Amino acid sequence: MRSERIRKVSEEMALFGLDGLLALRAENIRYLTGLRPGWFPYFQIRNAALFMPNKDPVCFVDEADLEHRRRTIYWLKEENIRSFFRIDDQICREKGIRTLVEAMRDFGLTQGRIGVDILTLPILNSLKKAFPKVDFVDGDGCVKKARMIKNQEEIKAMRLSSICVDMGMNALMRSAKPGRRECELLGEATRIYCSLGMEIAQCQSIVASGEENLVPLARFASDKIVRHGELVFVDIGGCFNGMYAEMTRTFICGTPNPDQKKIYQTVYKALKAVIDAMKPGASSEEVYEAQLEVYRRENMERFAHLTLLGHGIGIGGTEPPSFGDPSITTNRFELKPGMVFSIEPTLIVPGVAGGGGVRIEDEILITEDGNEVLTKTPYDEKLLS
Amino acid sequence: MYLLTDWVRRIDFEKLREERKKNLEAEMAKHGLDALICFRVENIKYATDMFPSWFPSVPIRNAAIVKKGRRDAVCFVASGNLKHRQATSYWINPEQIYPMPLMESRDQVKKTIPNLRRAFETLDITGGRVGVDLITFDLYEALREILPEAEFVAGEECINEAKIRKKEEEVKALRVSSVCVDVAMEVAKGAIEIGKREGEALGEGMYEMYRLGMQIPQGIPFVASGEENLFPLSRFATDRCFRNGDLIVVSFGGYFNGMFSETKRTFICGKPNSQQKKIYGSVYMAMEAALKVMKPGVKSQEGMKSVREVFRQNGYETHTLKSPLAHGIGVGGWEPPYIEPDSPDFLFEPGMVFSLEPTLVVPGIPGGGTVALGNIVAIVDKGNEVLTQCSYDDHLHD
Repeated sequence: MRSERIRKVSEEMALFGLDGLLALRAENIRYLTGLRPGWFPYFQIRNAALFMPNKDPVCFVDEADLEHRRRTIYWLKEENIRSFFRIDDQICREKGIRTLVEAMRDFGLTQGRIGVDILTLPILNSLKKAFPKVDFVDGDGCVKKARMIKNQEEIKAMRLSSICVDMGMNALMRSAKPGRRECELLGEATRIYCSLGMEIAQCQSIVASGEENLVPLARFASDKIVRHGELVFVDIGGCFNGMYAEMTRTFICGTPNPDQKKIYQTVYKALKAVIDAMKPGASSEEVYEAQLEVYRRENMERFAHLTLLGHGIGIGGTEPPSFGDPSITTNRFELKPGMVFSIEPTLIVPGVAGGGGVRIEDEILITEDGNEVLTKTPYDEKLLS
Repeated sequence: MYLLTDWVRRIDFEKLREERKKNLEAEMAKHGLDALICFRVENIKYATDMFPSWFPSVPIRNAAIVKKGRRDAVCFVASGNLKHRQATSYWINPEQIYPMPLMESRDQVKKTIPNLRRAFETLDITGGRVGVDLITFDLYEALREILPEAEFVAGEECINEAKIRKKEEEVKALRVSSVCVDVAMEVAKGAIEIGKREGEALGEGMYEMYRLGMQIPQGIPFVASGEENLFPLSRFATDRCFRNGDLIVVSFGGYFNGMFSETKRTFICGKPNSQQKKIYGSVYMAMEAALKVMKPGVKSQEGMKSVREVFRQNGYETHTLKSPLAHGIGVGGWEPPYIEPDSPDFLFEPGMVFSLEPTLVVPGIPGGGTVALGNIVAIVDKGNEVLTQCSYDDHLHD
């Protein structure tokens, strides 16, 4: 997996005209070096990676983890695992920058075009000052491009992540009953995820129920108590063993009403239509259109939550390319084998007793002759019947 | 859903927002900033109190723009949250809440330019010194295109300074978060038994935190046990099973109702050996020694010295973990100021809140020789207040 990634990113660097890469985002660092990040729920620069084609990457780790990483990252030489300091904090910036500058000099990266994925203005200014002959440019696009097509080993890892996500959803659905709070249900899934080795939740997980939290959709888990007759909308996922997976199931607590069934069945049809359209050579527009066609047929288009129909997923929880409203998603692209998407058609219908918000989401791998659905938790039979 | 609380005055969030606004305004003046653009969620929360959408692998998903001397702000939220935030963020004009795409590719950044332009127009920002707390090359290019007259400068120093001294309502909120992590730590402690995996014990603590309304965990939650995972310290939970005689370090926290809290405890599975007790006792004494000096007017390095002295007296001076002895905590889980050997000295002031976490990592101890204890400590007028109060291990400490 690691050597495939190095080959892929080296190819992309040639296309992007990059001589070197400095990565400060956890998922890009992992792609280049295999480092399991010290994940934070929000962005912090705690690690880094330096990469040049045909050379071993250098991995910079939190000083407190240095000894552990040197002992466990057997695929890198000890001198290529270096101590690092929080360079997005003014106190340690100088020390951290010095470490990076030394490594860049060791690498011979003192001129040319070097891609950097994210930074702060003081970091950029310090780097420019240390290397006046270097043209610092965007490096994120290049690594993201490499990440788009998953290699065989990455696909195996994504199958495992999808199993873990299924298990958490299963535990949550079994424990759902009137009287439990949304946040308790999320806790049930998380307990399973942690026992299966989850590194970090994919994002702010959603458990939203009833009219109150489904319209407009509250994308988190609140302290609301779930009541009989309510739809429960659960969108959860996490990073397991280096790859993210996520899924959404909406289910009924008790007995559904006809409006809820109609909404659910429409979303289900949209998901199936999208999956049918997802094959090598198909365009992102065709896939997006497959969803719209179902909504139009069912006269539900005005309720569609069209911002994002789906997005890439892998070493990052959400990565390009994405499908959806053209004003906010990536530009048109063609589906290729090895791409993996989270597909999440959603309808949010106001004025429905018990709530009218439904999303169903699965992980879809594009294969040579079509696709494979990686997540397998059953859909709600009561809402489908 | 409140439980029988019609007579209780809890946290005055209106006041909390006002206090922050005033504080940030003063820091912007001090740093000579005419405007501030925040992309980091914790800074957005501080500047506008906008409910963040947390996303560990997507750094730029929200934004807030504020202008010196103006009370209002423009917020950008993840597109899928737009309607919800417009309907619920009653202290912000809904017309000044804009959608933001994923910003994970060049074309998505370009698609945001019209809304960014509209935001600057709304706030009448045309140039001057504009602070930015995080940037990508595509975004930097877009900002320079929209505001060619502006001088873009570091924005994080200003907002980090503003966050350091917590006001009364913020400390109240931190007390509530600390209750939640305390309860979860007791649950994790109760889950420790021979044969249980590290991940399972963590799962019990995490369940409890979510049950109490946690939005996202703090930092890197971990459970590490036994010689194998305690030296060198593995700061994540693995599939290792607890065995008799293992030391178990549990470290976690979370974000509750707008503020982070965290705690660390070390427990024994079965009976401890004398070396484990000695290490535990040293860390406990170090915590007490630091608490004695953490009061207004004392220099932060006195905290460092007091801990180092305890470790030296016990022969463990060379076995400390290379991470700060203490870090600030609040709307962010890890923020300035830091107490560590190389950090600049500062005076403790009322309102500063720290996660104080003395740690020893001693190799060659059967069952493991790493002990970490962590508490949230607020500096108050008369000294300090320890906000976390979960129990210690009676077998390791008399």
